[in-house]
Amino acid sequence: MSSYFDQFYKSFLDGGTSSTGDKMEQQPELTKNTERPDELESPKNTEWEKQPEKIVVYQAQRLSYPFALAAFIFFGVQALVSNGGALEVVFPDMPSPIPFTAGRSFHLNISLYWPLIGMTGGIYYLFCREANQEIYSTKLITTNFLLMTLTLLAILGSLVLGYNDGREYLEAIRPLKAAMVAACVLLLYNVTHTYRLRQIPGTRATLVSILIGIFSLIIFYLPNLIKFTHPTVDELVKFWVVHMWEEMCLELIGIGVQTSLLLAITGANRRVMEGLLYLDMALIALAGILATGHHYYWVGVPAVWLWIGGVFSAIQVIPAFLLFYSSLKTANKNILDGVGQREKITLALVACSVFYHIFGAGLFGFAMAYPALNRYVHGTYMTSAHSHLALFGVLGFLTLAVCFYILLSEINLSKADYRRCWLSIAAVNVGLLVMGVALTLAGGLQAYLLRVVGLTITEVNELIRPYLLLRLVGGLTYTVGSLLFTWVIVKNVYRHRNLLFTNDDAATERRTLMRKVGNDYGQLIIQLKQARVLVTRMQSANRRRTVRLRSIIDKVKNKTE
Amino acid sequence: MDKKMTGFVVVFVITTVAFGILVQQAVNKAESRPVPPQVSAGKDAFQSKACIECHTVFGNGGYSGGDLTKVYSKYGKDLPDFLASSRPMGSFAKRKQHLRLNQQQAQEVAAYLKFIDSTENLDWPPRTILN
Repeated sequence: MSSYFDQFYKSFLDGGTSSTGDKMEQQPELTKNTERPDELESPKNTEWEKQPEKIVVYQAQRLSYPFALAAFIFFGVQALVSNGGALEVVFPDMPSPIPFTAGRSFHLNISLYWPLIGMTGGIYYLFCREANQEIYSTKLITTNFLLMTLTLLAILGSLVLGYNDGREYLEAIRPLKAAMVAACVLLLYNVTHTYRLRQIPGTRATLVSILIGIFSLIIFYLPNLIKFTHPTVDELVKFWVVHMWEEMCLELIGIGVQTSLLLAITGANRRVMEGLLYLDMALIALAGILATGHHYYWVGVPAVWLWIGGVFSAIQVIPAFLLFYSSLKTANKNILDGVGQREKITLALVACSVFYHIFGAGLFGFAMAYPALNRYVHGTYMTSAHSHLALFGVLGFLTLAVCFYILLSEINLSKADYRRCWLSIAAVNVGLLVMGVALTLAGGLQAYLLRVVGLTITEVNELIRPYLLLRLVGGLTYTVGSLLFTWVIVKNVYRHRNLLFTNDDAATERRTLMRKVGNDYGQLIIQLKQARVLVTRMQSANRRRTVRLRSIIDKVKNKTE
Repeated sequence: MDKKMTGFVVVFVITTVAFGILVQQAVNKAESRPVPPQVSAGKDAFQSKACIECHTVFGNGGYSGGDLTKVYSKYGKDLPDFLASSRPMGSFAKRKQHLRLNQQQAQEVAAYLKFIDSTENLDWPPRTILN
């Protein structure tokens, strides 16, 4: 038994290049499975799985680090600026370097685009892994990064300078919006070509989900580059980004990224999840697109939209639960045994995302979209509560999970820094929940006082002031957490900048080794556990073979006698 | 193509097409009421001042400044003068002044808000219950 482990351990450390070729022939099954732990439990092997795969460290994975780093930095900046706005709502006389309109549009735009940047990095990192295929063009990744990040910087700069298109969430001036679409087109182009080059069947749910997600991201954004003069039509098209991006396009991408991430960490069985994923994706597409109707109730459309919005918003809750169920499926009770801190923190962030998906987005959203209730709570701070819990709660946490996982591919944090990460996640959660509760109370009171009692907005604002102050407290807690998290990440990336951003032979070799062993012992222990399963399986196969051989020998003996 | 994937793609395409048709109908209904040039100019002015960051129109926008969907009914013909006047921000601001529009912008924005006011939007916002 121990000799098996010795051989096994050596095969890890031998590097995945030609030197292992002989070993592959001797123990093809063993070597193959160590390389693809996520396929370990597959009951049947398909044709492509039979071929031993080379261990490859995809260039795309290395090139996705800047996306993850940029996402973390924007995440930190977002919280800082948002507090200015929250402060100004409670104390309007307070002097401010920029007008409230610029600050709020800054907040909305950064909150929409930083998850996009992080998710793009996640796509590059995980798509190659899922497709077993190097990216079509590495140069395009860098171009994509520069285009996306510089466009976001230009958008934020122009908003501060007062260039504002005056449409909520789409305040960026039109050329900059076009540049953002161009960045998404680059992503789609690169990923589609990678998909076409793949050597595995293209029906893998994660790949299809990410591809269709990016495609829909673009087709629903494009009409927003046109200027509409009719207010109702403008509102109709606006929600193709404000709603559809978050609840359909980015959710499809998110589900693909989240599943790839969970498969990579837990080594769960892909086949079990495949059908569930497709069902989830179909429901997201069906409900996500038609539930846009809940934003259309009062903008001047026929009453049939009350039905469309109401019914499909109810259906929207199902994918949230399905995602929870499919995430649970990847987990087993030993999930945290021997898992390193990097994986634990990533899993915690994914768990946060799933939690807010069910409560903040799913159930809260469903309650608010019920037309009879929506009539009263629409246009109050309750919408703000929902969007904080849904947009950051679901997409933000997932983006943080994937970015954290990406940036720690090759580096390890100190124990103190891991503790800081846990602390910051706790602070962000507490802050977000306090904000959510405070805004819900403010919104509920606003709805009651405005629409039941009939006070003026000025009187109502005076009465809900304590809750807005509470929101500020939540916001500050969130900011402490987010700044701490960003600081830990930026500090460590800066410290290891040569290691992360070089690309010579030594770096490639190290990355190959890292990919085999994992960045800490936790990963190694998982792989050893999986090896133990394999060894047991091989032993029982040997036993069966021995029994069969013995029976043949007996038969031959009998015949010769 | 495997069945599950085909199923998903079919659902996606059919839903998108159905949604497109429904939206087209809503657009046709909305556009049966043409937008006069002054309203269009008012919309531009409203957007250029980023009013939507504090106020809501049809309930969408910022939540601190109040809803403007039926604001024309409240002020009527006095609305342009009100928009062009200098006045405190409201709420708990003592020093801060609300943004002022010039006369032309005030006329245009008032026309835009009148157009919004007369849009049939299922009687939203609701009438207050106790008052």
